[in-house]
Amino acid sequence: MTIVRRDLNGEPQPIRNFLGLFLGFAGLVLWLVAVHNADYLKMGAYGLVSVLGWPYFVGLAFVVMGFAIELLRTPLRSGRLFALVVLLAIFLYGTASAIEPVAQLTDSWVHAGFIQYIIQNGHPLNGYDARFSWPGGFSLSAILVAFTGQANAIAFLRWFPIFIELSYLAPLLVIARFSGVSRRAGWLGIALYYATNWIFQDYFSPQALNYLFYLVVIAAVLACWQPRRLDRAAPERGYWKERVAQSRALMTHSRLVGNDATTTWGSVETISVLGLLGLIGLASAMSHQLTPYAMVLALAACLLTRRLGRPELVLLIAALALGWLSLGASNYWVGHLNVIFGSVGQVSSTLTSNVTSRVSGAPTHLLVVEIRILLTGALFFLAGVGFLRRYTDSRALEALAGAPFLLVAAQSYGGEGLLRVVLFALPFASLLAASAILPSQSGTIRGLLPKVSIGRFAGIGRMTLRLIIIGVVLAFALATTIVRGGNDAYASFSRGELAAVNYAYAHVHSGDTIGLVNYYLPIGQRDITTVAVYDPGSAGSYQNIGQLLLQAKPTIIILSQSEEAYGEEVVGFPVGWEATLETTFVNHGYRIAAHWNTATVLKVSV
Amino acid sequence: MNGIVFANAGALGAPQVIFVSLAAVVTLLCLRALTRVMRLALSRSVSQVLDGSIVVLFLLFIVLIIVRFTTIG
Repeated sequence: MTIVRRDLNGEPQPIRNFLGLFLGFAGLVLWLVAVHNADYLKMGAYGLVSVLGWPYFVGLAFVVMGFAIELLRTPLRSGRLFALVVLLAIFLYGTASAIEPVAQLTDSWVHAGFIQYIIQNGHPLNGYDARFSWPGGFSLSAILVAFTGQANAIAFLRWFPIFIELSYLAPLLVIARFSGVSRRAGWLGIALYYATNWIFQDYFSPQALNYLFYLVVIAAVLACWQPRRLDRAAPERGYWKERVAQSRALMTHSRLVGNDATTTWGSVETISVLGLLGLIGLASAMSHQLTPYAMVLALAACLLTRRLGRPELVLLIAALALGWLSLGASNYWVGHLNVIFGSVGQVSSTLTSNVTSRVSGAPTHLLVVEIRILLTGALFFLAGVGFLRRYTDSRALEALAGAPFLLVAAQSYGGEGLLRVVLFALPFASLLAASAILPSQSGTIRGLLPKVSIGRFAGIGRMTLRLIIIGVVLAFALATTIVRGGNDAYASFSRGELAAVNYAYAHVHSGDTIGLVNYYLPIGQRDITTVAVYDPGSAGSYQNIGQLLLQAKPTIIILSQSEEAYGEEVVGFPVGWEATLETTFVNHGYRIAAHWNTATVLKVSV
Repeated sequence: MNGIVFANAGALGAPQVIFVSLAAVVTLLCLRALTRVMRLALSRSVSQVLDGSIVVLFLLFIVLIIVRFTTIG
C-alpha cells in the first residue's frame, strides 16, 4: 500500500517527496541526542570521535542521505538543499563546540588576550608578537567586543567555528552558482567542501575572517565577469591543436588587460563592487600575512581564464599587501628578514616541514595524520577526474584550485603553508570533485573523457548516482569527523583547566611568570604585558622540560590533562610523565596550591 | 622627498617614499579602472601614458620595497 497525501490543489503527493527533509530532521534530533549523551571527560586519544555515540553517525548518515535524495530530485529545491547543507555544517563544525565545555585551541585564547590589550590601550602592542604586525582583525574584534558591551572576547570563542563556517556559505553559494558547473554539481561541491574541510583554521582568528574575505572577493569576481566567447577566424583542426591554440591565448595582451571577460553589470554597479573589493583587499592586507597573496594569485587565475575584466584589481591588492608588509609590518621583519624570504624556492624543505615532520607521534595520532593526508589526496584525485570529465567555457575552477600552490614555493609559513594552500584551493577543488560525479555536458572546452550515457537504464543509473553521492559525501564527512577532532585530546580544554588558569592569573603579580610544560592550556587571554607565560617548547625529553622550568623559576606551574595528552600523543612521552614532573617540582621548592580533576597548580614556596 | 633621498641610497627605503609611491600606484590604478568601467573615451596617447605610468610606478614601488628590505632588514 502506498501512503499518499494530497496538496492544496488536490493532487496526490507521495510522502516520499518529503523524505529528504524528514531525514534531515531525524538527523538533527539524533545530533541533539548525541551531543546530550557525550561525556567530554571520557575523551580518549582519538579525540572528539571517542565520545560520539551511534546517534551521531546515524544522524550524519540521515542528513547525507536526505541531501542526496534532494540533490537528484526534479525540480531542484534550493531551500531544502540549503537546510540540509546547514545541518551538515552543524554536524561537522558545531559538535565540538556543543560538547566541549570551553573553547578549543590555545591560539584562540591568546587572540582574546591581544584583543583585551587593544580594548584597554586603544592600540596594538608593537614588537610583542608577529601577529600584532597585522592587527586589523584584532582591532575589528575589539570594536565588536566594545559594541556588544562585553568585557573581553572570550564569549565569542566557543561558537566561532560554526558561526564563521556558516558565514562562508553565502560566498560559496555565489561561487557555485557562477563557476560554470551545473546547479546540482554546485550544491554537491558545497557539501563536499564542508565534508572535507578538516583544516582547523576556523577558530577565533584573523585567518578565519580573512578566509571569508577571500571567498567574498572570488565570489564577487565570478558573479560580475563571464568569459567572452573567443571567435577565431579558423579554429584549429583536432582536439589537441585546438587546446594548444586556446592555451597560447592565455598570455595575449587582450587577456592580460581583461578584454576577454565581459560583464552585464552597469558601470555604477561595477565601480561600486570594485571599490568594495579594494577595501576588502586593504582590510585583508592589514589583518593577515598570507591571505592577500592568495587573493592576488586567485585574481590572476581569474584574469587568465577570462573571469576578471579589470586587471587593476590584481595590482591594487598586490600593492596594498606589499605596502603593508613593507611599512605596517616592519616590526615583524626588521632584523630577521630570512623569516620571510628564507624559504623562497625551497619547495622540498617546505614540503618536508609541512608534511613529513607532522607524521610522527603515538599510533593513534599517526592514524589521524594519515587519514588527513588520505582524505586530502582523495579529494584532489576526485577533482582531477572532474577536470577530465567536465565541459566548460572557462578553466577558472582548475586555475583557482591550482594557483594557491604557488605559495608553497614562496613560504613554508612556519610549517603550515601547505595546510593553508589546501584550504585556499578547497572550495574550487570541491566543485571540481563534484564535477567528477555530475559533470557539465556543455561548453566550448570539451572534457577529456567520453560522456557516459545511461540511456534506457536511466532509473538504475539515477539510483547508482544517488548511492555514489551518499557514499562519497558520507565517507568524507566521517573521515573529517575523525580527523578534525583528532587533536581534541590535547587541543580542547576542561572547566578544571580553565579554572586552574584563572586561579593562576588571580594569584600572580605584575612581572611574575606562569610556567607550562607545553602550549596546550586556555591561557594568554589577559595581562599579556604584565604576566609572562613560559613553556620550554620542544626540549627533547620531559626531564629536560622539568629542568628548563626549574631554571626559569616561574611563580606558578600548571600541569593539566591536555598538556599530558599532548606529551603522550604527539611527543611520545610515557604515560604518567606529568606525575613524575610534579614530584620533581615538589622536591624543588614548589607546593600544590590548588587541584582540580584535570589540572593542578603548583606555586613556588616562599 | 628632498636631496637626502638622492644623497643616500638607503633613504629610498624611507616610509614616506614608499608611501608616496604606493599612493601614486593606487591612485592611477583607480583612475584606470574608473575610466574603463565608465567607458570614458581616452585618446590612444593618454591611455598609453596612463598604462605606462602605472607600470613604471609599480616597478618603482617594488624596487623601493626591495631597497627598504635590504637596508633595514
